[in-house]
Amino acid sequence: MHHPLTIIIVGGGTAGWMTAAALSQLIEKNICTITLVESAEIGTVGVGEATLPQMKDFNDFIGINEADMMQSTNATFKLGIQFVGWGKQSSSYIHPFGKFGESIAGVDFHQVWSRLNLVAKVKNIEAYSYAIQASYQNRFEFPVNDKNYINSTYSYAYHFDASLYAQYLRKFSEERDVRRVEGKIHSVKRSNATGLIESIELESGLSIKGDFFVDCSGFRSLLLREALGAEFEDWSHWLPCDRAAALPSKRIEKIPPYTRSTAKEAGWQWRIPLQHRTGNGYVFSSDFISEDKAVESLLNDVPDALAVPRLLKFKAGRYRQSWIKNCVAIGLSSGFLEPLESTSIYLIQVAIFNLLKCFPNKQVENELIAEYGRLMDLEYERIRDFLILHYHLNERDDNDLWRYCRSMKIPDSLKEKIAIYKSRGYIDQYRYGLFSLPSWIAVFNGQGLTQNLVDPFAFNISDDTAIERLNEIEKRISERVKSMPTHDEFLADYCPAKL
Amino acid sequence: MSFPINKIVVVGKDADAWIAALMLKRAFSNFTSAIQIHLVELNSELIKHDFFSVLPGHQLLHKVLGANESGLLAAAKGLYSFGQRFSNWSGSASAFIHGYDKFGADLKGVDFLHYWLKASESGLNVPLEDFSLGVVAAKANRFVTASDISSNFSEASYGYNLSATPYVQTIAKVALKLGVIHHRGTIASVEVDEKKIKCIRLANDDVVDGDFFIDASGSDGILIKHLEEKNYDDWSNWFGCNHQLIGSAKPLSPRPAFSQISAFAPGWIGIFPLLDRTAVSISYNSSIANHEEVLDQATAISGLRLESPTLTEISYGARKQQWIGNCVAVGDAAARMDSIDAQHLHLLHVGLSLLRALFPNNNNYLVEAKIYNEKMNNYIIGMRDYQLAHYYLNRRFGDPFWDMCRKVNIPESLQRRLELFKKRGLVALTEEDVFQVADWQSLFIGHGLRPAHYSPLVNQIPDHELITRFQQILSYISKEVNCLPMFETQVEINLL
Repeated sequence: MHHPLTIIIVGGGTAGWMTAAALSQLIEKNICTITLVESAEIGTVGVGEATLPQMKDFNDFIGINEADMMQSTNATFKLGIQFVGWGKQSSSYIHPFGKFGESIAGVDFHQVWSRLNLVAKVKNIEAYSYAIQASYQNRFEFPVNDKNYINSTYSYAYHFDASLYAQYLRKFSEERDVRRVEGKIHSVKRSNATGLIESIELESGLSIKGDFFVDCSGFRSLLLREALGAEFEDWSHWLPCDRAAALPSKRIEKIPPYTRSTAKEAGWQWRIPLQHRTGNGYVFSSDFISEDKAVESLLNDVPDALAVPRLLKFKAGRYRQSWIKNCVAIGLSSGFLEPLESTSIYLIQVAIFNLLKCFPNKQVENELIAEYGRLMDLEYERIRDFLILHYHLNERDDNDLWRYCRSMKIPDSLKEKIAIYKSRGYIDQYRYGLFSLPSWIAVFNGQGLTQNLVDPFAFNISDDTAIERLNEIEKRISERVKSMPTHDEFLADYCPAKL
Repeated sequence: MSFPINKIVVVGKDADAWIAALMLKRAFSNFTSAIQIHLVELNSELIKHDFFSVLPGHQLLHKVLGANESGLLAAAKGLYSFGQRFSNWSGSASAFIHGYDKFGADLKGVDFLHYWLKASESGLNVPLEDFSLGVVAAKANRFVTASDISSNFSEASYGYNLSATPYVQTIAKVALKLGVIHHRGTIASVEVDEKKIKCIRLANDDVVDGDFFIDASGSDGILIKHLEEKNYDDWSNWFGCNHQLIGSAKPLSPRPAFSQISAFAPGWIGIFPLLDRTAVSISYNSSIANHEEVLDQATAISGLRLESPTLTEISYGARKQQWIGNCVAVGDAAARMDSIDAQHLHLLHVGLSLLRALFPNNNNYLVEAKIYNEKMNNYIIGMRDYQLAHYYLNRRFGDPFWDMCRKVNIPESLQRRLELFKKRGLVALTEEDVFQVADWQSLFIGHGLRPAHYSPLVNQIPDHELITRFQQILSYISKEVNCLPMFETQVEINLL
């Protein structure tokens, strides 16, 4: 007879409940039991969260009804992120969830576009992105699958209230027999012989034994760092922001289908539109501005605040190993990267999927831990480089933060990506990890890094053909976008908030 | 804009040189300015028995070259090949086919292999390959058609076996017709200026200059050797076959849909069906047996009599940098790979594709060369490890050559991959892996590895349901296979 694996999840924020929900389908199959320990006294970090299109895969995987989830979390749709003041103070661009144009005679669109740029005046590359054009017009509808249609060239994500999402998943999980225990953790008991975690001891005196532990305790990293002594890899010299002040405000009149990130003197400010309110926050570096000044600046820039600012502290980086012995850390307990590209929930999700791929037995298998580590390293490093790019590529002169970031030594991996893009628009495509071609193009272009030269094979296409194709794509996009409902109309019809 | 490269010179011979020249000619076919593609052809080393056994990926190369598949195949006396049958690699254990298809269907996000492992543990006695439409069809001498591939259940594909001389001649004809400028001769000297090749002087005193050079001259690297220092990784401690006999036998009837790779005491015998003959290659270690003994044994085992086979000495290794200055070494000049597992021309293909993606657009190639070399090295490692695993995992205990192969100190990249699979049945793919999950599964399972554990998640499917699923898959495959055209018929329609 098969004995189920006893899984203990420590912490019940977004990470804890996402993990519980994803694994809960294994309970009735007798593969595992799940106990989640959380304390109502300990707050969670989730403020209002912006997500990436992969979020839909996660919800589909666990079997969540999209409209129901969106109604319950006051969610809105998201087609990308608008970056204001990044690069130059005057610049503004959208990083879309979708393609720019389409390849022409086997040559990538951005190469043809850049090549035309050398000989003629062409429109901003944003004119050729369906997701961007829909964003600017505050419109939304679902993409179609048929690749022949221009409205198949994008995907979408959500903005939602992360605390409500966690609550939603809690209900979902408890219905599937995840056991929830209320309580604070007093200590962690490890085996003298093997070093494995045997149990967690609660302040109430309750001892909870398990075979496998998932640390979702947030910044505290209660199991991974405190109990198992994981070593932190500090990335704050590349990503110097170490504070965030969060502040909700009234809902926006016409809800935009995108997140906005506005660069400021010592960091950047987010705006995440929900159906009932708007999430705002100033992510800043305490080396370059005082907390008081930052809060003041946030209050100045956010009209119609609904509460007082809440301050969070963090450090960019991650633990060298996020799975040690019989414990894996998921979420903030495994590392932190600022929410500039909405990657926090994605990192939770990918950790869960990798855990399922390397699902543990009762014995510790080092080969499995190594493979999990390899997969997570790729994710973390790729996101890290992409975030650094936003800071590094700037011409701002209003504060030392920007001067520092412009001249700092960046990772070699990123340096190479920038050099080869600049010299020929080459962007590596990879199997694992986030941020494919359009993401890099959006940020490079949006922040003023133009290609000096193009892929030579772009010269296989004549000027006339190229211009004709570009015009055709632009026309198809603008005509189709016009017929879309507004984001507000779509929300009201599909998933009005249960207020 | 004026393009800094106006004249590209390919130097080399045979498939590497002609394919490189044709690929470049076509790549620049609609270019705004006229780019000259020169080919300095060195003496051919092809012999009449030579053949190429290539993977399904080669179809893509043919597309890039603008080839009409049936026409090229017929001209090259070639045949489709749906896989390779490895026999006698594991003592008395049965043979297996490395088919170009996946296995079964994944359930609940868990790879089919894990369900098979569980079922096998509880007594299922059906080989993994019987859950692959491509393999079952190949064994039944059927031809998998596009409609089955589009069924989502199968990804069956075919590579080719090609007769080398007519294949290269056909490609050369097209290249010349499209305007590749052809020189013939031997190289007297190579002139280098500031770490770049400036020109080549031929024995007849002709001088060919150029902006960019492709070294397709084989492992000598007749151009790149002038730019390199200590640039070679020798692999002879990993690969033990140091001689190869190549010959031809009568065509098989009916023509099999797969190649046959049989291990025997001194090495292995490869049998590659072609349209008008059967190509046979015998790789062996000469310290175990001399070539007469080898030939006698091979004839006895295969039942094929070879007409005047040719003997060559072989060695293995790779250049550490394939792109130096204005010169890129492709094909055999990049690495001397083992010939096992249909990897002929594959490295050439990978190199040319990468070169196309990174083809220089100015006179400074440093960034391109760095990325090219990094990626090529990763590609080469993946291919080499896959080949090496065949030897390392043999179970011919008591055969000195094969005992030696098992004792080889394998590279860490392969070691890690093996350990993860042995422990858990997982295949860790890198970004540049040429072989996909199903290829590695076929290799590992075929050679008898059985992971210590399968994923606990397979227990999501109750045993009785699993049995039903397996039966459904098997009956689906056998039904489908019976409806497929015979391989021989398809050959007659397309190629004769």
